[in-house]
Amino acid sequence: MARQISRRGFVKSSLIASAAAPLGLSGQTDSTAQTPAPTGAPAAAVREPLPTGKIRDQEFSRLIMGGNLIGGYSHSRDLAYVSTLMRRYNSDAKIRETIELAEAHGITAINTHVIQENSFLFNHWKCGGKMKWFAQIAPDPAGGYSQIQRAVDEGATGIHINGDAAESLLSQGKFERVGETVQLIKASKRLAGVGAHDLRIIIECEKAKLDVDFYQKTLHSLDYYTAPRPDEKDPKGAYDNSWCNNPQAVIDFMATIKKPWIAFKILAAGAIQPRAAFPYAFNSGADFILVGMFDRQIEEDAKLARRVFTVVSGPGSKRTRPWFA
Amino acid sequence: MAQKISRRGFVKSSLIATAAVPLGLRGQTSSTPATPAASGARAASAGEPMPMGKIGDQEFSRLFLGGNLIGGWSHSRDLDYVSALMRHYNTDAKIRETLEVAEAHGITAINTWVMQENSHLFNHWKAGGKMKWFAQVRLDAGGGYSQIQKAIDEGAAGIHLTGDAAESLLKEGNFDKVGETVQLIKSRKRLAGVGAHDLRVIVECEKVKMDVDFYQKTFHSHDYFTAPRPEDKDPLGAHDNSWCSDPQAVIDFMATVKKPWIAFKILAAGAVPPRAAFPYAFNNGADFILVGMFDWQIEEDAKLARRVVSVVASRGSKRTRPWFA
Repeated sequence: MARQISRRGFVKSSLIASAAAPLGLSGQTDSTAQTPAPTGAPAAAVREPLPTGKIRDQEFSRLIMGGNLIGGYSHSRDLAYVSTLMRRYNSDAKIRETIELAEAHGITAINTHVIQENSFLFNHWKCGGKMKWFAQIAPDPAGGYSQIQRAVDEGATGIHINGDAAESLLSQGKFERVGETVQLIKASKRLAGVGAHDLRIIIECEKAKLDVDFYQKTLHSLDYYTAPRPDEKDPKGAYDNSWCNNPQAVIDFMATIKKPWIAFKILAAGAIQPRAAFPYAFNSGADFILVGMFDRQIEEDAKLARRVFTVVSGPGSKRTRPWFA
Repeated sequence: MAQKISRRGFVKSSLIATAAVPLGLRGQTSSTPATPAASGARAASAGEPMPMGKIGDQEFSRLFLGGNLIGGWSHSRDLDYVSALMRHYNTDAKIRETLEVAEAHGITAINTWVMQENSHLFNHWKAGGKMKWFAQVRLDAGGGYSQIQKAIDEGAAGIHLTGDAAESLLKEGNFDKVGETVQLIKSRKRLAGVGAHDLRVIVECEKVKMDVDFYQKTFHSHDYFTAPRPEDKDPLGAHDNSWCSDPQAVIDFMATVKKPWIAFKILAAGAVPPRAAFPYAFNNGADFILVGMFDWQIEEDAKLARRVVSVVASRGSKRTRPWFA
């Protein structure tokens, strides 16, 4: 490693400290009074900052950490064993190590589903960690919004309906409920977003002038072997192989949108190399990139994000969309 | 677990026992006098026996353990990160555990390349393990056979030229060297085989009446998403996605071959589930199947292999090729 951070020592001490404490529900929002982090565990000692952007009044690193690898959602096409392998590799201790490492490399936010196992994040906070949380939610089967309340209670900074849920509401002709989630989240003084794989979700949001704080929209090229074949036109690949069926349409439409855009699935779940995906996303208009990373990938990805952002925000950049964060 | 094996206790004691001794070079062939197992470590308690078959004068379980997952060769199409994930998951201790679990479930042979890190196997032997070793070899850059000598010295029961090496010799017009490897291996009283992805290698061996003890030939259906597309005709898929370009041709030719057939890559490196691949291989003539398995997959795969062989070996079976082992 280029920089010697004392992460092993930190992780060890923080894990020991957290083992004795109950699950934490202290948030990391700026909008609510913060519960002080417990003493006894130092925050990561060395930080190399990442470029940041603002969503409303809060700053986030332009590289946000994804939660799929932690949750074991590999999206590995026909290689079904990979999800299990991920879950087995990412032990509780390894996940804690990963989040501390991410923070030490300047990553300030993570995105996970509110109903997945998030105790690693609560323990991170109890030990003094400051990683902010974007929580994905979906409406309850009966139509309620208990997941939003849970995300608020558990300390999310930002909350968004996930792509699957929004797309399901659109196909059921209940798109007004997407607006309800945004209203409810904003009423709780959290950043409110909408997630989408299908560009029509963003188009509908704009048509309805939803007062979102951010959009979280998939963006990846189709330049990889397992990309959709010509006869596959759905927004999501039928073989867990694609999440952005028409990247140019996304680029063109997002160019007209004046809200922060968090681009996700930019690696097409591992098929596109970061050195290709990061510049593609930022040059194409993304304000933030959300990337699942294993512990060993974080340092290199953080370095790459810094380098790419410097180029894209510099003179002669290919980017034409203004930064909205 | 259906059978209560004391594998955790065994692994622990055997790992402790082996930590103190140097790398073992003691073999498990029946053609050479077996060095007694190191005292102080018990072999895994007997599991449920696997169906067996003979190659030469030696018996082997019809399910072999493959070495690719241990070595970190994932063949995961465009998902490059999976190989690294495998290597990080399969620590030395985990590999030892995997071997012991395999043995406890009745698997009696493993196949690895002689040049990869095999100390886990040598330590297994030192601790009393009996897993037999099929060693893959390639020719030296200068054309010599030092890998064969290394495999013999290190205790291989069976030795075979790898498919890529045999295919390269065929392409170069040096196929006589394949015969030389077989002669050399046999002269050293080891089981001699030839590996192949390309069926033409087996066809050539039969044409020259090569005195092999076994063939190790790839075999899988194309019933998976990442299977070769119509325009892909090569024996090996161009995207690390296929190893058997024409399974029906393999079935038809192997039906004429009167030597034991170890079928490998039967899962197409994870894309075909075992419940489909095991019956497909045995019904279509394989005498043994060679399958890479993580520790957590072994018990279920061993049960499946027992059940499938029991059905395929019974009256009314779809199998038409006689068993040659």
